[in-house]
Amino acid sequence: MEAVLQSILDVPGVGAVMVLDAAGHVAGHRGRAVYDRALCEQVGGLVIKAVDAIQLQQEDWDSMTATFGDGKLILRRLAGEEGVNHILAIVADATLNISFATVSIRVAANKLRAALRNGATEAIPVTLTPVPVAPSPADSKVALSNSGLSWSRPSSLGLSRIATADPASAAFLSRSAKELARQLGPMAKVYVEEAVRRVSPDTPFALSAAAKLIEDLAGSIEDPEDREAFRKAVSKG
Amino acid sequence: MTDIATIARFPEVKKIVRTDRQGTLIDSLREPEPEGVAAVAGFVVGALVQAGDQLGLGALRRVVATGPRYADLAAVSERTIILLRIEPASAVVAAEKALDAPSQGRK
Repeated sequence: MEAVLQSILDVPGVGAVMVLDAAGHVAGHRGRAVYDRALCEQVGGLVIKAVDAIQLQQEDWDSMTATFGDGKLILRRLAGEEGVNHILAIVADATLNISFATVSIRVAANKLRAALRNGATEAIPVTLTPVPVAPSPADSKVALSNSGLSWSRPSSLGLSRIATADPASAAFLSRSAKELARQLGPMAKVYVEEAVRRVSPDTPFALSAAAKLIEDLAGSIEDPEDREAFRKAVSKG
Repeated sequence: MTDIATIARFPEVKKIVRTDRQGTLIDSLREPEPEGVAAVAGFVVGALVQAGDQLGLGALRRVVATGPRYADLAAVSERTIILLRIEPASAVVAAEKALDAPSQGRK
């Protein structure tokens, strides 16, 4: 594993390589001195926030590139064992030859995916921890990921841990999450997941529980007008 | 300001949403839920800008998220974000050129 990450770090222009778990924590890391583990932990939380939000629009994304004035942040989704997703994140400066790097990243990502499928996640923190290792910052921004709810696992619905009775129920949940996102932003899916657990704790969610769900979700919207707009938008669909 | 109607002429560009940096919708084409998309775009850009600041990468300019069927491209300027849904995903380079073309024409 360490060799895989090192192979990416060896690409000219690459400053850091990390494997992030679904909570945004650094599961593996190799980097130049300036990109120490503490910094990567901080950035990991932000990256997962962005990834969780992107999945509201594109559930089955597999790569993402953020281009900055002085470099790039390149992400690849690594499917791990059941229910667990990891992200390969690469920090590069402006000298990166993206064509050359793409090949190396693809090869490395495939190796990491295979390793994760084989349950290598436990080994990553041990084998990939660079020296020196700084303690994780207490204020790491992992608010979304700390919920333990991940949007990272691909599914037809995106509400990855919710069982639904039929496709219509699944479509209703997706619509509810999108409408709620207008009021609450990307956290909406988390709210929907939690609400489904409350209104339909023991059985797959069905449309018969839709009214209860709408009221539950509406309760999370502070503004009365927004709350009513949400009720109307979800109900009319 | 970039004319989104011009960009929309490209057949690979299926949807367009323009928002400010906070995620407030400015205008859109062919997107049935533009406010929600705008909010998500604002949030994603905000998170990535923070990440870029911490990593010393400078100003965020583009974000491309690619899947098996389509790509989402966000062009970030000082005040606005233009989000394109591109299908097929392989057309993303052509779409980037389309995005660049209007601004280049004004120089």
